[in-house]
Amino acid sequence: MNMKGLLALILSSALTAPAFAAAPNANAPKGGNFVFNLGGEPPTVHPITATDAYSRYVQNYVCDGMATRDSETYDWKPRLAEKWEISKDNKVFTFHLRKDAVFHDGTPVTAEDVKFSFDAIFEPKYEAAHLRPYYEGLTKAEVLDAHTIRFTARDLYFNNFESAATLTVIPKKIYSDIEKSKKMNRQLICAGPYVLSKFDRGQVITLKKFDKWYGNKDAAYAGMYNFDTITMRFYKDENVELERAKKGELDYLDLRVEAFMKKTEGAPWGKTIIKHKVENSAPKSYGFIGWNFRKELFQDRNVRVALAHLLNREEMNKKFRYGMSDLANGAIYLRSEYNPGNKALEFNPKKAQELLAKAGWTDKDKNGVLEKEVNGKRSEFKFTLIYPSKDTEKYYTMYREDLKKAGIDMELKYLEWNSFLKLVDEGNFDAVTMAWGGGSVDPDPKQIWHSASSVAGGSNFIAYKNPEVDKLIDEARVEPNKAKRVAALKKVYAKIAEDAPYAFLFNDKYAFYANSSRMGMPAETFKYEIGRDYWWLKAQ
Amino acid sequence: MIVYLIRRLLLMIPTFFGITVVTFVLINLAPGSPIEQKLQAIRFGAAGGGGGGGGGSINTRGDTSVNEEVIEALKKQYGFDKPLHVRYFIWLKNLTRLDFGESFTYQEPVIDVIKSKFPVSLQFGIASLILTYLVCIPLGVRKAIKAGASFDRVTTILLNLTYSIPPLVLGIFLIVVFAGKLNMFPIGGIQSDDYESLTTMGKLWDRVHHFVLPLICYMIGGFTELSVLMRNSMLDIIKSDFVRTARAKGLSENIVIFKHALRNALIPIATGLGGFFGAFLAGSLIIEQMFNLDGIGLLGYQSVLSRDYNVIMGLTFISSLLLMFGRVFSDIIYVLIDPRIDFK
Repeated sequence: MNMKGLLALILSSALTAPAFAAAPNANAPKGGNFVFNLGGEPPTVHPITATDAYSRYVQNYVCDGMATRDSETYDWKPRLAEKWEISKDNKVFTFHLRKDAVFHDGTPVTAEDVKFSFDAIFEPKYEAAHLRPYYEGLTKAEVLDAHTIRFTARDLYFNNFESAATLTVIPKKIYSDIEKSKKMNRQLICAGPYVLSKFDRGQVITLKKFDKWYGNKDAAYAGMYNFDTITMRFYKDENVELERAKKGELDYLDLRVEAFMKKTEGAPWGKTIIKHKVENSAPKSYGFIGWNFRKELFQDRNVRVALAHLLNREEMNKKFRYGMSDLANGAIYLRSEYNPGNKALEFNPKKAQELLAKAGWTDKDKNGVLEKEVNGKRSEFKFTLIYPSKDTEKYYTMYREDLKKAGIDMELKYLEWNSFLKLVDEGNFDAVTMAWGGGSVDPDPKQIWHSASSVAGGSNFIAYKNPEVDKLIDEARVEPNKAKRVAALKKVYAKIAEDAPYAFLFNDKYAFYANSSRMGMPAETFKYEIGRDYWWLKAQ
Repeated sequence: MIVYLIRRLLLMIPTFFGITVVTFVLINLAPGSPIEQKLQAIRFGAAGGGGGGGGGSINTRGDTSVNEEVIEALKKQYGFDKPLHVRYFIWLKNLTRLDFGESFTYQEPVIDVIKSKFPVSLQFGIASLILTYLVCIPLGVRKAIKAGASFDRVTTILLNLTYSIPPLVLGIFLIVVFAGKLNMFPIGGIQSDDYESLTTMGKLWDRVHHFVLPLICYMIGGFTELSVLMRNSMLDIIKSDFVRTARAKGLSENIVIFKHALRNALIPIATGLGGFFGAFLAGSLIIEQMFNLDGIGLLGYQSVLSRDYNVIMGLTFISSLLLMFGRVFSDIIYVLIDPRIDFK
């Protein structure tokens, strides 16, 4: 990152995030067992065939890539590669591997292994078609010598380096026998700080500190990975999870806002199990109601803005979210440096009425429903909102009432996930509600907002098309200079917010979690994550 | 009887085809094939499918459309490049070798996946079956003898109360009170972490300790049904002529009840015994999830959600077979208890 970019990052961080800088405790005591709830069981932990989030959690401890992001600065930090060079044209990445890194079976990590890890994704016998889209930006990996590997990128896409740097490196010796390796669903041999020592189906995953991990003696990792063992549970039910925590059987658990506010009061909360409400800059998800641009009804911007003005988010936040959420102001996390800072649309039925009238929607026959003459044909303002989760129904029941008062008839339709997705993919709906995850700190809006993504199975399922937005996205994607990319994407997000293709719902303001009082930590949170890798067991 | 049994067994063949064809066609028609699941994983990260919370993360490349080559590769990987009926016949052909194919989720042979989940469900199935019969038969008999008395009324109220509690609520209650507050039982799982280091008696005790709460949840529904069925059946018999005659002959009440009446009263109960086969696949999604048991119920549910066709078909095959044999078994028991019954 150049100086200008760094300055922009520091400035924007100072404006958007509380001023803290957590540093690892280099003298953190070592040892102990850290128990936490994974939330579900990974069907397989195989580095190539696994697709779920639970397996990724396990792999984060067991596997290593060439570089990783710093939890506090978000800069690239060396892992298996001690240094790297990026060519002037930004298309060639050369990584120099450290010489003291070994896999869990004791064999050294070489450039051959890195090349193998990359090629395996494209090896048809590995049946890893699901992984390919993530690495398509890279054309090849070449071994320059035993410890040097070079990746060449297809284009200037700004995330190409990330794809190469975070590639999970696996030992060629073990995984090259594809048939045998594909059966290794409960074994994982990598080069990370922990070894997968036990995987009991339905019960537990246990990790053990890897004695020969290169970082154990390296000052750069002082204060990290302090536990001797890590135990992961698979509890899905929140009540069970909370009871386990109360009994002292869990050292860490994520909390939902309801659990934080309602289910964690009185002893032992605050004594043996401590709950936290922290703010950090990790991008957080946002929910939305998306309007299908293929339908005549939603093509008028006035209508979409009016519909957003009829969404009483202030009240919903108070009623269902204990006031703990921010009202989203667009398609990017509120505190992101990419957020252009436009004003969130407030609940304003009067303004909505004006906008609807401007779009030609009035209740001439006084039957309580707005109507409009289109080509001599009278049509009433009616549409159906489809949703895949019963949990969110209460929000839309409230919305329906406010719409009714404004003369709009909205029908609610719950659909099972796969049936829901079928309609979404076919573009066969009026309005849809879902949530997008926070995504990357450095976002790429193409997946959701580019008109090229408005294809069957694409994420721009509402068919939002704005040539200006397309152009800016295309330019930003190949812009290596972060400050320039931020500037371009700010314009993109400002335009999207202006077009109101979604009625944006909420951004989580806090991360809620609890930990046992046995845990020591350098800070409640780091800037881009909670930072459990820096925790330790306090002396009893 | 033999002819009847042969007829029943032969009838199982078309029934089997009926069940498997319908299931095969239905799951294939439902939206969200394994290919689409994989595409969803690419599009939404892992957060998408399953629970249906919706949404998910954004893939790193930022592109949305997965190219045709990838889709074709996925189709070939799962055998979806062939038409539906061909796939069904392939499934049938493999079945003759007891090969159920590979689970898309676990990437292991279906039979291994089912085998790994099977012991948990079997243990609970058998334990709850035996316990239910052991308690319900004497309870029902006593309720019938004391019909109308306070014992009968109080137990009826209690049984109705327990029957109306959903297993989910009961499970949470048991966990919060008996495992949490009173700390009498473990919260879930099937054994302690230090199980391996325990003595034989210690192991047994540890298992029993883990068994109590989920077993109560498993039993609660069938318990009431069977007790009430036993009571009413016994009551009918007690009022019948032959019992009155036995009493008139001066036989002791114990002999009247347990020798003459009970055998006849057991006939309706025996119908349920065919369900014994069901004990092999006894699995409840809710109970297994709550008590962190890795059983068939959860597997079935997750397989349907993730459209793991091969596992769904494997489970359908095994459970329909057990169900059909269970019915035949019920009929045999009928004849054994009451020789007057003869299926012709």
